[in-house]
Amino acid sequence: MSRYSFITQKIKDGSHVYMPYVLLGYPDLETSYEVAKTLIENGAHGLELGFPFRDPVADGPVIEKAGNIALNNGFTVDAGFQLVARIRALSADVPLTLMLYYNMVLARGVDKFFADCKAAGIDGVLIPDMPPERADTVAPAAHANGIELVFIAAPTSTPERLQKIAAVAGGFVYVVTRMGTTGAVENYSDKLSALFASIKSHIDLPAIAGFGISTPDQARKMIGFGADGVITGSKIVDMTTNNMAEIAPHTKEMVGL
Amino acid sequence: MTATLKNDDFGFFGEYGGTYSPEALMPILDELLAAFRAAEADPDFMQEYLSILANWGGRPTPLYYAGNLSRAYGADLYFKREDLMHGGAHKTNNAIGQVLLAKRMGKTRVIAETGAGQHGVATAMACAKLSMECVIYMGAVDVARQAPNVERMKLLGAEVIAVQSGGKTLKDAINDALRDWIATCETTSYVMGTVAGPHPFPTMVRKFQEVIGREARAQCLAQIGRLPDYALACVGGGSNAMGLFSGFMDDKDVQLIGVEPGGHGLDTDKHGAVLCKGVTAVLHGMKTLGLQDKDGQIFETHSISAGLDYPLIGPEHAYLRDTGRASYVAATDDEAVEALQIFTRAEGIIPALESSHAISYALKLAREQQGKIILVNLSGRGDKDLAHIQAYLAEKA
Ligand SMILES: Cc1ncc(COP(=O)(O)O)c(C=O)c1O
Repeated sequence: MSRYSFITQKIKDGSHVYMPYVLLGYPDLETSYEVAKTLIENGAHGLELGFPFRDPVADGPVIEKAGNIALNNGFTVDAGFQLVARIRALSADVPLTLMLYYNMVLARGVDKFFADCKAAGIDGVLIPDMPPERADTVAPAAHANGIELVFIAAPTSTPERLQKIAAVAGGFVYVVTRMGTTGAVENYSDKLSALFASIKSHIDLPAIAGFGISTPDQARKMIGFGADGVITGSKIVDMTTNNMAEIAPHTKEMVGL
Repeated sequence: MTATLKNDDFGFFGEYGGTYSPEALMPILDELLAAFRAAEADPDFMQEYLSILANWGGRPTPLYYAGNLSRAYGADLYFKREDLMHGGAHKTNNAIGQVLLAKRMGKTRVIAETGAGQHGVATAMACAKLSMECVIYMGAVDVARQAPNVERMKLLGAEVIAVQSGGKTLKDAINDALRDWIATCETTSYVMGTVAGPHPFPTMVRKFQEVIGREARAQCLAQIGRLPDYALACVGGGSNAMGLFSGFMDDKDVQLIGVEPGGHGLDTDKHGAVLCKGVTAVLHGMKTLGLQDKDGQIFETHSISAGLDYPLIGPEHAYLRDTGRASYVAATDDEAVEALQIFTRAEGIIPALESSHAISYALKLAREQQGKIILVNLSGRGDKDLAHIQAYLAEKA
């Protein structure tokens, strides 16, 4: 049974999930391992694990800068997969979703990449620059290895696009709640309730809100609009840079929403 | 509008091209594709585009027989004078087409990336003429080495944003322009400067540059009485080359040659010769060739010319390379500067550093292929490069 059923069940039971994002290798491999460990120990329901990329066009300046630091400190995909396996060893149930750009999948070779995901204990892969139209290029390899493909839905996604996503998506839907890239700028459109309703009417997966969420208040708002859970990304990077001690209490608070 | 949209209109050239973009951009790319297909099929739109190119842009540009060089090198060298295009480079052909389209789509703001600043200038000119707000993303390194163009853009009313990330050149400018677009696509059009990016950009930019090849072919027939043996162009993202090549695509006896930036040499890591040395890559919304490490991290390239300093390539060129219809070679920084000096003194025309790469290879080819007819796209003029060339020569001396 897929580890994503762990979050699906929680949501069915009426609670919400918190699935923070950790940029692996930032600022170095060991520190990012500690961050993941802290998140899991404090009850995160799932983790997004990011492989750093030099040209992250779907991410904002905080993650781009951190990614470059990670790469300058020697992050490699081989080291990334080893780190994923160590994080998997911390918990048998928490779903782990790997986020990375298409070119990194291509460079490793699609088949080898998904085999490595399976071996390291990854449950799903989110490729932010792979629209559902291009999913056929990786779907056979993903499914052969039992890996779900996770997709993004945006405020501009039309019903036809949501149907395309529904046809190939697994795990959960990552809902971009504002246009523009990640980073903690508050700029929520007034259309979010309609967005979540539309997504849920087309896609039978948990709808998890991300991009620009950093505080429990913002998370509560998203839940109010209909989100089944939230993701924070840039916020974790910020705390990693400035004050690691904040991560545990932040996680506890987000998990309790 | 969508009625004219073919289901298979995915923008692939063989395995290359397509659309690899964040979901947030996909609906706007669909909208752009539908608008472009409708516009290119609308005679009124194409007429307006061509008439602006004529009476504002100065088209047609001449086909020039370089007599002095031809006598000296033993082959007939002809130059398509895109340097005489308003703005000083071929980029104006494309910018005016895309800004017209943006206006037709009801957008009020235009963004663009620029390397050498030529596309930025062309876009700023088009926006001034067509009353659109204009923001140009330019790598901080390029802002420094192409200062005159930065001043021109500002004078034309554009805002120039110096991009500080990565290698601070064209690739990074595209990253930031794409980010801007994701956030603003409801009001804003992204005017891509070359035949790269997600569908429909490679197809659309080619369409707006085809005027080069169409004119050049007719001029060859009228002035020489036959087609050239070779058609050469420098290749950064590949738009001036696609423009020229498109005119001769079905003329199988015309050899198409793209000249890439060889930087310090292809055996170093300081070049931008993507078609000579690249591997399959996906970035900036397309599948194409790129220069990258084994993990798929894209390299920072090097070229003396900002307009060629790009680690990817328009997908149609990757396809033309694989099918053998075009071949691709490289000219180094030194060779380009030498060719610039030779050409300037022989013909009284200062070419852009970008174009000088094509000139360099043309001179080499002329020596080897005596008596042949060689057509070169003189994609731009070199005024913008003067300070940079002086500094380069001073350092060499
Ligand atoms: C004069 C000139 N030629 C060539 C180029 C390279 O672009 P492309 O390969 O798209 O023609 C540039 C780009 O700035 C340019 O300014």
